[in-house]
Amino acid sequence: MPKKLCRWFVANSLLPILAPVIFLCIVEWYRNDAFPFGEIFMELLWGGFYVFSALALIFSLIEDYHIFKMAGIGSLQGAFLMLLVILTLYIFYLIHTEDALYIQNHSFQFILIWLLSAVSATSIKYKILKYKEGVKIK
Amino acid sequence: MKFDFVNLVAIISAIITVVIAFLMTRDVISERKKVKKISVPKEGGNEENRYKKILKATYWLEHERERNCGEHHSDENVYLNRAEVMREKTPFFSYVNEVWQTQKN
Repeated sequence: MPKKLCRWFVANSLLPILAPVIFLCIVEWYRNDAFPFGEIFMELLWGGFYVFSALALIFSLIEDYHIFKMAGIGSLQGAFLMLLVILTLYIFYLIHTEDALYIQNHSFQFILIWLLSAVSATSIKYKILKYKEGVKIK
Repeated sequence: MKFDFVNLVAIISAIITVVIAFLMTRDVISERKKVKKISVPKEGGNEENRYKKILKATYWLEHERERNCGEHHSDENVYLNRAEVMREKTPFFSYVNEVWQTQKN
């Protein structure tokens, strides 16, 4: 189960950010013999890509929505996830409307909100995987 | 630090994150303790017990004539053939026979 949980987390949170970064770095390497991984990574990150990662983690739980109740996930937790989606979308709105200084000053706060989405989604996924292992569903 | 809505939400998020992480860690640790208690190692394992039972059963069959002091079949091959057929009929029996022959040699 830890492997499944790690695989799910990497596929939904890290790969949506790393895949475009590595692709752009390879393109830059062919063009200019440079591999600016750090610069492109930070540019995409503060452009709002980490918002997609948080949303991907939450929306990937829709696949197992039908076993939420059986896995012990109540409607309150579902409502909390929806609240996190709204919060994440609000952050995306702030990134695209506010100035760069505001975003720079609040970058740590945005990371904390992403962390909350990641941890909440991971805890719910853990309960789902625990239920599936208990009834031997694959 | 200017106390606006985003800062307030970030503080609340940090608290909730710590609480959720703590609860999940506690759950994982308790599950691992349960699994450790349940998994008791069996003596010899299932396969070895099965092998011993089958070996015992076929040994009993082979020495039936000796135990009955020759009253049933005069030819002891009848009993030996029965044991051989029993062993050859299923893969596990033939495995037992192979192991037994190796041990005898």
